[in-house]
Amino acid sequence: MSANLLHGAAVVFEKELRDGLRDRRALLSAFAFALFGPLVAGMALGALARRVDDQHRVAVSVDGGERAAELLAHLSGSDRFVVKAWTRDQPTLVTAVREGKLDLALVVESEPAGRRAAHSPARLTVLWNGARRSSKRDAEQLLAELRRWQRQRTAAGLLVAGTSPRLLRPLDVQRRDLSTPSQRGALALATVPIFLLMAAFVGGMNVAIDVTAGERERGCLDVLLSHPAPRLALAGGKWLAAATVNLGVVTATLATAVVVIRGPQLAVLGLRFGHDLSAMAAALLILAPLALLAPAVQMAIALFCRSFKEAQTYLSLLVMLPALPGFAFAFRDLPVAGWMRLVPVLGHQVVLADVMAGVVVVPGTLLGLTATTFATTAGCVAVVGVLLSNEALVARP
Amino acid sequence: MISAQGLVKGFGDRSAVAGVSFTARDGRVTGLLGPNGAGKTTTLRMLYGAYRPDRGQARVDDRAPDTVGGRARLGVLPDKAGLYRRLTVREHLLYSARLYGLGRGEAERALASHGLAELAERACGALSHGEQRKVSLARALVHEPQNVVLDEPTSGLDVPATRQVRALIRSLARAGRCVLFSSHVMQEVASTCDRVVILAHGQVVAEGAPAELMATTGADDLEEAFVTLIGSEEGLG
Repeated sequence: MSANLLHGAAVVFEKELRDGLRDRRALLSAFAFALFGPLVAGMALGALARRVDDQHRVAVSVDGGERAAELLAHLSGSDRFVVKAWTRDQPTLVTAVREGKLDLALVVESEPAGRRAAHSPARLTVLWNGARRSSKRDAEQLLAELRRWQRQRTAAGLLVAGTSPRLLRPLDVQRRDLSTPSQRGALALATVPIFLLMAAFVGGMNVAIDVTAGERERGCLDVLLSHPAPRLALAGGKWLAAATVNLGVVTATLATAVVVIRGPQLAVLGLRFGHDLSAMAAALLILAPLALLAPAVQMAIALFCRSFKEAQTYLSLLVMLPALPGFAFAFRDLPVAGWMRLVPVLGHQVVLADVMAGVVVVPGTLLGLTATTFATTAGCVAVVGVLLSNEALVARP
Repeated sequence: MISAQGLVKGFGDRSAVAGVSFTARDGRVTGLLGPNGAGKTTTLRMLYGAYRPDRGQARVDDRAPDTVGGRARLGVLPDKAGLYRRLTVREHLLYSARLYGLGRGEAERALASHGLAELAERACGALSHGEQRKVSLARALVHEPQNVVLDEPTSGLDVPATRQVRALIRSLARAGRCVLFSSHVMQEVASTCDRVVILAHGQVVAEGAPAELMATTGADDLEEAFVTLIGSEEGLG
């Protein structure tokens, strides 16, 4: 009996895998969807890292710098500005900023005779192009620095005159943006486990539907069930094929995450992410049982559907379900109870986040989670076997 | 030998088959004839184990058709072709053969004996309707079963293909196999069947050789006999 079971499962597995791998469109869509998440997270982290980098090096081209040598010395002394003297004429400078060749320029206007004597303020013009994000951001930093310098100079002048600077500025309002680039980066990084989890529910979905609801719709299931192979063998072979494709997509997603989320970017943001092979192997070890469970659940649900499209509708909604606890942890900072680590999907989210945050996972926890996941998978495959014997689900048109 | 013993089947509150009994013997071609909705497909599905009867029993060589032993003795051609679009003809036959516990040799023999060698490497999704029907038939016979159930085997086929299928059915019976098939094409039934079972409203209304049925009703051809026996022309395809 068991030899018959294994033989039947092997025959069905080989056929379903071959059939599934020939469905290029379905494979392309599974890989594209699964790779999308890590690519977006990688791009977001890259952009944040560049922004942090840029904060230290705002390039300012200065025209007429000799007329404000003290200010220029102050800016040059700061590690956040790179001051370059503009040697050509002013209209060329304006054109360069307008056309985006330069992000930022500072023009120190020449003073008409007599104005200095009247203690008129020195006239500076900051040139930027508001249509360009980098130009606008640099200008805001320069303007903030100019305001700061002006305040310092005013305070010093008042002290020399024997007046307290408090009279002029009774309030000292400090702006503190608590949403630091590092935190925003951590948020982007926290989405990676969610996307990995979603990949486990997307990768083999089309195969899981095709071998159940799709075959029922095309009348193939009717023919298959007329063969003497045990129903459990049919269920096992179909599940193994969908799980194999799923595992491939999950591995590709993990590899993409490792490739696109680069260490130097994270170092700038003060974050870390396991990049070496052992970290990747650990993540795969955690995800693999889940990649086996998802197709079993999907097949059991799809057998209740009369067509491929109907199953696709329900299972597309199901893809969002495993992501919900992940989003809750990422955005609401919910406490993690011990039992959560043993519940399939929920536990995978928690343990995966631990691994990526560099927390050492207790082997017992991982073993417990894997055992509950395998047990659930076996239960679902057995249910699929029973459902294949249910004429109301598989034989009626 | 295939036998139906008091088969009853309903879906919800609709009765599809209401007590069908007949026997299809080895070495004979038995035709199941009836208007649309008479219960032909439901009866065949009970006989090949896809449906469980509400009452009565179906037997294939004295075995229940939904058991491993029953299925191994049965070749089935359902109403839908049920082919995999991306699999080649050869892969179809090999898949089926292996599920019956056979090997490549049986699949290759079926390819050759059904004239499918030239189509062997073509994907089934790219075949014509007639070619697809031919593949389905070859698949149903790959394990050379003693009993064969065919649901409308010539449906949608052109004249040469129809003649080939009829010749195949006759040759199976000559080889001592039990062939049971459903049809609503009178000429086909008259020329191919040794025995005809006429269904109407889920019940057997007549059974016998085509000549016997014509003699009983006094009709000149099987179509006239059929209309007389079912009592109306309603539902004739």
